[in-house]
Amino acid sequence: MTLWSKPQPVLAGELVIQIEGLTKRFTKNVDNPALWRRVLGRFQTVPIVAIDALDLHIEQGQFFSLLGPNGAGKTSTVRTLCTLLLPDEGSCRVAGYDAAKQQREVRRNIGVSVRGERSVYWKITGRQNLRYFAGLYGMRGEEVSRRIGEVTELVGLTGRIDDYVERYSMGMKQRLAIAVSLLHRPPVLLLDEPTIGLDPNGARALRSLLRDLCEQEGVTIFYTTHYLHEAEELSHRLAIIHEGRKVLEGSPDEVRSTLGDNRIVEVQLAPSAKTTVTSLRNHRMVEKVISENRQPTVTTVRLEMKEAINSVVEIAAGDGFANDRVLGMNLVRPTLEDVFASVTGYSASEVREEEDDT
Amino acid sequence: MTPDNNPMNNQQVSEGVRFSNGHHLHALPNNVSWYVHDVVATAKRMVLRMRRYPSWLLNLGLGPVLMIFPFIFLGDTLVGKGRPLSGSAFGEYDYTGYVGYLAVPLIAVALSNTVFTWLGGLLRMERRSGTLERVLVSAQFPSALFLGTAFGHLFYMGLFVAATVLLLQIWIPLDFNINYPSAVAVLFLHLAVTYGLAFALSSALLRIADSWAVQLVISKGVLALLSGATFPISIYPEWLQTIARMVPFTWAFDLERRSLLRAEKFGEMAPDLAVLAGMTVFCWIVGFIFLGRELNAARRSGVLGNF
Repeated sequence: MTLWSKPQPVLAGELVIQIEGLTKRFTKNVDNPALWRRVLGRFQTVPIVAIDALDLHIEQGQFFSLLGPNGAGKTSTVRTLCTLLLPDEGSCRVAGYDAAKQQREVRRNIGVSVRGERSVYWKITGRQNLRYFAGLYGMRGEEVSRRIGEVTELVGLTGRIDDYVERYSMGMKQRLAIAVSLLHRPPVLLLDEPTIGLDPNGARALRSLLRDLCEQEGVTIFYTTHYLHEAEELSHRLAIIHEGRKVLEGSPDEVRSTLGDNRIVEVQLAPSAKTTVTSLRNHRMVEKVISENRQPTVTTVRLEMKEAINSVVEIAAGDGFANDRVLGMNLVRPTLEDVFASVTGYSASEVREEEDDT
Repeated sequence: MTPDNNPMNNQQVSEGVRFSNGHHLHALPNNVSWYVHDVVATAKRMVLRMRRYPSWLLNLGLGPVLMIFPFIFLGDTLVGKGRPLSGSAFGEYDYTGYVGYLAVPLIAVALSNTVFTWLGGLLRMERRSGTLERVLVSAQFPSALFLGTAFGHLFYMGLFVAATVLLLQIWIPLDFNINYPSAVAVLFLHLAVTYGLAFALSSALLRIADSWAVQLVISKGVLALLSGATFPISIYPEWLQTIARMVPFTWAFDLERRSLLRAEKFGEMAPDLAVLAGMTVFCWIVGFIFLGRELNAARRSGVLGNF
């Protein structure tokens, strides 16, 4: 099936998303002011910097992922790009239009998924949702029905599209939200964690769909996610932001290579070897513990070394490593997750756990 | 291409990227037809959504009757036709009894209340549920969403009015004496000014999370008290009467009584209708300005999607 109406080869090179020095600050109330204080604006606030002088340049037809721990500024960046937030400093251009000054033009050229399953109306059917949003995108007549049929099939909701959305599973609502964002064949897709809540098959199907849209149809995709394997699998380029600042940007290979080879050591420990993990963390050759995966039979710890080593033999005899609880050691190639943990101080699993808690 | 050699950098207002895959949606359609389309699409969605709540519709339809019956009964008992106090306060207004004087504005107040509740409540609900943000990144004209919501409500308004008047007629028959052109004009303006005010007040919801309650207090209390809904404003001191005359409902209720109970002709009411029409336009302009300002403020503070 043709995803878009006019599939044509993509000529890469033109910047479709341009973020220059973007800064966004929010204020947080110090206390819980009374209503009259809020009405008159007489209450104390503290500033919070959500995005700090961020620069990003995304070419046409690129799949770009923005990664970062919770509160890093990913969602604020997406919301600024899609005109829901006004920047305090700097500028954002989407499809060549200024997101602060040319909001209508930007909105017309983007498909957005923010808030996932909460962005559709639960009290009407999936088809009624699609009809409504198609109307807001200026679609008329036969085109609406035809396009609803196409996007429904794309996201795999054909059999349930006439059910009330409140009867959908979370994943189905998420897929409906994606279908809404695809309705008007936008050249730019802004997706804020679209696979949250999807089962593995649904997430895989969505990734496949997005890859096809990007590679076959030249749709530019700006994607935020906590799932680093998704970014690794899909992205032409990615950036990691932390506390509003960009700390790394490049292709997945370039980002992985920033840690350098021979700096990640994976150590298998006997279960319940807490003291050993602590001694490894404090070891003079270890920069930090990147991840710790406890299983019933083995605990696997990934370590970032302060300097590159040629072989685990170099460290095997050192203090802390020569321990009868150490079952094995390997020198491994750094993954995106290793880089993420190295630059943010968070492991991806910690980020996901935080997300689950909220 | 680096940022430095991208021609877009030097443009304040760009005409957009020329997409090589033919996806560029640069051209915007005619503004008026797009605006109307946004309004109609939202109104349709409202009607569809409300069909899912028949009990709420029944509640809204019966609510005004239940609210105003005790007032009318009490009023009729005390100062109705042939009652000991009749004529003492209302004779000068040339109405045959307090029931008629009271009933018309009370129906209007009750129905206005549903307008305020509806617009404010829905905006609050959409903001909390997350759909407000989604709609705002789709719609070309945010104010069209408010209008669409208002028109969706209007679809059911006829049902509410019919239910109220019917039940009232069964219990306490009203002695209507209607001049239809005048009545149509004043009812239209009353509805329009109500939506205009609700529109303006709803915008405040974007600034203050619980301003829905404030809005209800204003609509139920301040406006009803100042507008002479239940008693003539002539009992107020002069300064308060001046303030009361700035409330559009004061004019609307007076004109409704004159057109529905005394069959006053359009020509006789024209100057006062013009005042009400002016207030209606003013409320809508204020509503649009407020909404635009509050949306921008919400975009700056990031509270559009608070839930």
